[in-house]
Amino acid sequence: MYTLGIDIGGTHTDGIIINHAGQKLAWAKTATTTPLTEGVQKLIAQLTQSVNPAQIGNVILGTTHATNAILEAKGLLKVGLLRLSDSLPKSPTVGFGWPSLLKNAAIAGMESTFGGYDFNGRPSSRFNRSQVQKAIAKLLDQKAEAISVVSAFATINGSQENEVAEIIAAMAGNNFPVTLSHQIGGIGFIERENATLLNSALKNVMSEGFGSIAALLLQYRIKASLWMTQNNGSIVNMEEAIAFPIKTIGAGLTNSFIGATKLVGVADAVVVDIGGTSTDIGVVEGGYARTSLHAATIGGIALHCALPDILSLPLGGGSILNHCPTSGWQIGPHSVAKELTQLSQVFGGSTLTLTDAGVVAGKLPIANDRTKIFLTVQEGDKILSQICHTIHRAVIRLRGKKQDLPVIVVGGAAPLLQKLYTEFQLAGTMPELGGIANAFGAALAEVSASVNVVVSLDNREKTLNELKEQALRKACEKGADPAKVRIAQLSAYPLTYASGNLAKVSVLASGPRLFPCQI
Amino acid sequence: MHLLKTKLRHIHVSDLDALALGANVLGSGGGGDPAYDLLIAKEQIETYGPAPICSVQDLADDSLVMPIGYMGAPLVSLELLPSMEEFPQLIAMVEKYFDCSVQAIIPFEVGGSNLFAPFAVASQLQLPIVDGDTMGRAFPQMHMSYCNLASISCSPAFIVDSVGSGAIVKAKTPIEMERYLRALTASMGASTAVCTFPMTGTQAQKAIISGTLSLALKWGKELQDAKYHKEISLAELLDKWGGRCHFQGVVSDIESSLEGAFLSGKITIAIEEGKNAYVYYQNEFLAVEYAGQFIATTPDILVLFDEESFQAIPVERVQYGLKVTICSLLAPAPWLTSAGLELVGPQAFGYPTQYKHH
Repeated sequence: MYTLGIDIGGTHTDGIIINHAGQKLAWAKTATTTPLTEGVQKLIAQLTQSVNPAQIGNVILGTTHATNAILEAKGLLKVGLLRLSDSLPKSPTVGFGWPSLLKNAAIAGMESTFGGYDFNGRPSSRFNRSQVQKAIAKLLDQKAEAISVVSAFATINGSQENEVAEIIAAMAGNNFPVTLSHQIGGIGFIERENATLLNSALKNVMSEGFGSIAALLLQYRIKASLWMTQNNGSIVNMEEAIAFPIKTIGAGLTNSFIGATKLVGVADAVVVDIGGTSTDIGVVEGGYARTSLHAATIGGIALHCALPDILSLPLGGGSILNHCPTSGWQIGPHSVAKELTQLSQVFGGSTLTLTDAGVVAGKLPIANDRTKIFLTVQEGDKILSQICHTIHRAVIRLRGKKQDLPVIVVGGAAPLLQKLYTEFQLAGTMPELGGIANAFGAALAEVSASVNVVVSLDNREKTLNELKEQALRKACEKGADPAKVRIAQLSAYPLTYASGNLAKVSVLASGPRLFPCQI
Repeated sequence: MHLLKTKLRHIHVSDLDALALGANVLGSGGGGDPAYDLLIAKEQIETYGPAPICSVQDLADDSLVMPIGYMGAPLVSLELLPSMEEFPQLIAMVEKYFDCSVQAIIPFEVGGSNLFAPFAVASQLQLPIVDGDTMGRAFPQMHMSYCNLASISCSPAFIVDSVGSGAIVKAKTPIEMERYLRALTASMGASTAVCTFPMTGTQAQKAIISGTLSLALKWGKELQDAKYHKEISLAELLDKWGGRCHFQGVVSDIESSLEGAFLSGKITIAIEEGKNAYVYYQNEFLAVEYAGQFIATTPDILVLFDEESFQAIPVERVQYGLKVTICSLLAPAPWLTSAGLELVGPQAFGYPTQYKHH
């Protein structure tokens, strides 16, 4: 049974087919299109030339589609927010601090009603259905196309939010899009509210983008289970990904970092992913992308989702080069981006780019006429040293004292960074298939399961062990290899002031998929 | 505002991010992550105008000054957003009790979200905030206040929750007051707004630590500069502030428990292969142990920095695997006296060591 991994990025759609042992059978790269399915169709047509489609049992998609929709504020639903909290919180108002473009596109209005839970999980005695009905009617009057419901301490008890969802269904119909904050999870009202809002706003974008992929696969006689990768590097079924797009928002980067380490076969590394406009540098530890300390943000909006902790530099194959007589070569921050093949000198344009420097220095296998590039070999060489110097410094900063971490360079413009290994003497490799690291990462995504509860830790060790067992069992039920499944994250946070030694415990178990499997 | 002697200064929205960075440092890990109060303060200031600030010397002798802040668990305040009625209600209670209008408010601690608590209400009511606080940092308990050292009466104290319940509390001693207020807080959903040590302008001049808001703002701006321009290292910055960086390491374990209704515990930080430093905390970071010795303790301000972002990490945000730099800053002067050390030194928290500045 084979797995097809697909990565749909802003510029390229990549795919790779691997067998049950993780061996690479076929791979391809096409341009990303609108609608997305065109590019995916082209990709699958190429891949199935050499591989029997009937052998493909799982298709795993990774994408930045939802992220881009937020950054561009395109195709979003207008969302009404209902806050359930006895304090009837008025400030910060919904979407305070968001970019105004996004706020205007995604927010219809906000209402607060009594409700929620206290820190022990005790429900508010003020919760009142008719007050909720009035608030929902107001949101619908404000032309909300979806509703997000956030109650205080919903992560401890979600039943009040469920009751509100029933009220909404009775008033607006069963198909009216709703997101409940306990389905998203995470302590922290505002971050959870932001994630819950964006999730509702993205529902159409996701179903329009991916709703027809299953039918497309069937056209190519691929009767596989269809999955998407989520932020923590594991898979989620397509139905859930469409219902909870926010869970996939950081998966593109995760796939690239994980794919890179898996291409090389290490569990710990610094990964440098250099594309057309930017270079993302991240750290993989124990097979997982290191996530950000501070609440992660997408387009400036604070979220809960653990997103990879990256250092992003405006340096890529399309970076524009400018020569300044006093300070030398300035590389970027502007890039020709998607127009590389029209604007850069090696392709007959008039703009000098980093790709041109790579070509004259003999690092890029572009067969065009080098005489069109106004750069000497020495200049090209010097420019590559300069960007490697910048990236080298960033790598050193990011890896800190872990000096023995190998450095893996992937992405379309990877060959430009060979000097990291020679001149700058970093240990590591540049895998041959680095251009499709993202798709490979998607194909190898794990399965995970989490347990989030508030429990008494009077009997700490026993309780934690039981919760760990529970998470491991859940992961195996979802298809993780029982021999390799492990606890990936564990946190136990006591609730100050609570009696009974209560703590909020979160356990995440994750493991590679058991091959061959139907998951 | 006839009770103020000079013109007011103002804190603008553009100052708040820096103030939050500085508040995290002075909080010694405590006071609550200011993230939400920062958003609320920004929104209120955008709506009602900049928050007025005065110096303690500007207060008229008989003016009524109110130290305020939140009492409650950091984790709880991340879920229970304020109604925004709490502080106006508290001020109304105080004014009714004393039959006199409040002339200025002051944060009872300069750390974390408690530095921010006064800003929203100061903007809303255009009521001045005194540039200072009653701890010079953050401490876990109400009686660990310079007002206590200065023999200001803590009674009566005023406490309200976010649904409009409230109480006026009298106690014989500050320690008892701490105990009663904490019990009330626990039964009011673990998140309350509190005023203790209400005082006059004359008393405030002797009983507060002056200039700490300005200090938080100054340090915050220096941290922002350091983060964006990278011309100064964290160690150089700490040196400039009269502090020092002790170790860099990775958080390898977080033990936490509830002792006497506080979040207490021990963070293990792997310094190098086989060598650990331990940071003890009770809401705030209070002591650092390395190789069997306490190398830094309260009342010095202990800070765990994320060196990449030049950000001080609040105690509730410390995570497994985090790379941190352990730093300490000299305690505010009033705590270095023998009476001060008796109240907030290492032995007051049960650490078997004498205070030494390193």
